Amino acid sequence: MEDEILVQQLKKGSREAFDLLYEKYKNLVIRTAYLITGNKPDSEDAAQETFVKVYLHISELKNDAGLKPWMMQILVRTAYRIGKKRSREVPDEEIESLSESQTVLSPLGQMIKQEEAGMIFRAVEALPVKQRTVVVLYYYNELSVGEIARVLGCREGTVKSRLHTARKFLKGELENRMDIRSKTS
Amino acid sequence: MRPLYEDKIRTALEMQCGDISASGTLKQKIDGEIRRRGKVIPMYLPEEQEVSMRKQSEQNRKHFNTKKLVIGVAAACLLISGGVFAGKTTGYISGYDKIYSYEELDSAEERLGFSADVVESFSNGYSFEEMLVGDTRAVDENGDTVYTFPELNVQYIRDGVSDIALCADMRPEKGEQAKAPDLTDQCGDIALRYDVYTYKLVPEGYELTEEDKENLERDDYEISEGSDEIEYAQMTHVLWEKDGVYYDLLGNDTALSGEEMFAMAKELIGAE
Repeated sequence: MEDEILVQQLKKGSREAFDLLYEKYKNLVIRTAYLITGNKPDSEDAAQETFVKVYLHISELKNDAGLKPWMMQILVRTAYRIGKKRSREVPDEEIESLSESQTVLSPLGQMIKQEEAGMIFRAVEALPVKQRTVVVLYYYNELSVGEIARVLGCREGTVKSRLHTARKFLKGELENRMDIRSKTS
Repeated sequence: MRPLYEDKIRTALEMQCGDISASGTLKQKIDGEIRRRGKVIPMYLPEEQEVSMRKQSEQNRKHFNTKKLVIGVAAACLLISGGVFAGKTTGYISGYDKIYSYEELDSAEERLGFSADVVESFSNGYSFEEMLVGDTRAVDENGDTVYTFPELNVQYIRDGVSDIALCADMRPEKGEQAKAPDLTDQCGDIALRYDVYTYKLVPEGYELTEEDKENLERDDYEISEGSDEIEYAQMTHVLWEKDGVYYDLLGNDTALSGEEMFAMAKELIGAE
C-alpha cells in the first residue's frame, strides 16, 4: 500500500494501517538504526521508539507522502540520543552471533567480497557519527542530499560537505587497506 | 556514473546489516508502549511500568511536557513514598514478575528478602485481591540504573472496587517529602502521615494554561502527559516506616477519608 494512503488511514486512527506500516518499514528502520548506532540492542530500542513516535505523532506530519523522510528524521534523532546515552556492553549472544556470521563458509568470491565489505564497513564505523549518518542515509537509504538535509535539519551545503569529507576519508582508507593487503599477500 | 568505490560502500552497508532484522517481540513492545503512553495504564500490569518523574527543580517543573507519569497504584506509590528523590535518582521503573495469593505470602516475602505487614481483610470490609512482587530500578535523568530494590504491591477490593493498595519496599535511600502532610497520626511510636495529590493527565503536546501554571506551583499537584484526553485523578496516601520497611497505603480515587485510611494502616501495623 502506498505510504500516502497508509498515513491517511493512520491519521484516522487505523491500527491496521500502523501494522502494515510496521511490516513495510521494520527492517529498514532497524537496519538504519544499526548502521548509525553500531549495535543491535540500541538499534532495537531506537526502532521501538521511532515506531511509537510515528504512531503518536502522525497527525503532525503535514505531507502525507513524506512519511519515509519524516520517519528517518525521528529515527536519526532517536538513535543519536540513545547512542549518546549508552555505552552499553555487547551482550554475549551478540558476540556469538557476530562471530558466527564471520565464520560462515562461503565460496572464494563471496569470501573476498565479504572481507572487502567488512573492511569498508569498519571504515564507515570509524567516521564521526554525523558523517556516518549522512553516508548511511545517502548510500543505504538512498535519500537525496535535499532529503537528508530535511531529515537532519541542516542545510544542503552541510550535507554535501559531510558527504564529501566522508567520501574522501573512505576512499583514502580503502586505498590504504587495499595497498596494505596487496603488500602482505 | 558513480565511482566504483561508491558502489562498494553501498554494497558493504547492505551486507553488514542484511542479516539484522526486527526481533519477534519488537512489535509487541511497540504496541505495549503505545498503550502505555496513550492511556492511563491499568493497575498492576505484570510488565515493566515506567514511572516518571517528579522533577526536583523549578526549571524542570515548568517543562512539564518532558514528564511521563503513569497513573497506576504502583507508580503513585513509588512517586510519593520516595519523596523528593535523593542523590542521582530521578524516578523509578517497576517490573512485577509474579502474582501471589495471600496463602503464598511466605514465598513472596522470601522473594522480597524482608517481611511485610499484610492482612487478608480489614474491619471495614476491604479484602485481599492479589499481590505482586518484583524489582524496581531507581534511574537517573538519563534513564540509567542507579540501584535496584524489591517491591511489594498488594491490591485490596471492596464491593467489587479495587481502589486501595499497599506498597512496601526497603529502598536504600529515602528523599524528603516536598509537601507538608494533610493529616498526621501516631500508632505507638510509628508516625503516620496522610497526603492528597491531584493529577491532571493531558495528551502529548498539551499547552499549559495560566491556571495550570499556577497549579504547578503547588506541592500536591502534578500535570503529566500520557492520556488521550484531559483527565483528573486523586491519589491519597498514608505513609509510614516500620522496621526499615517503607509502607504506602494508597487510595486511587477512593471515597475513604484520611481517618478511615489511618485506621486501615493501624490494622496493618498491628498485623502479626
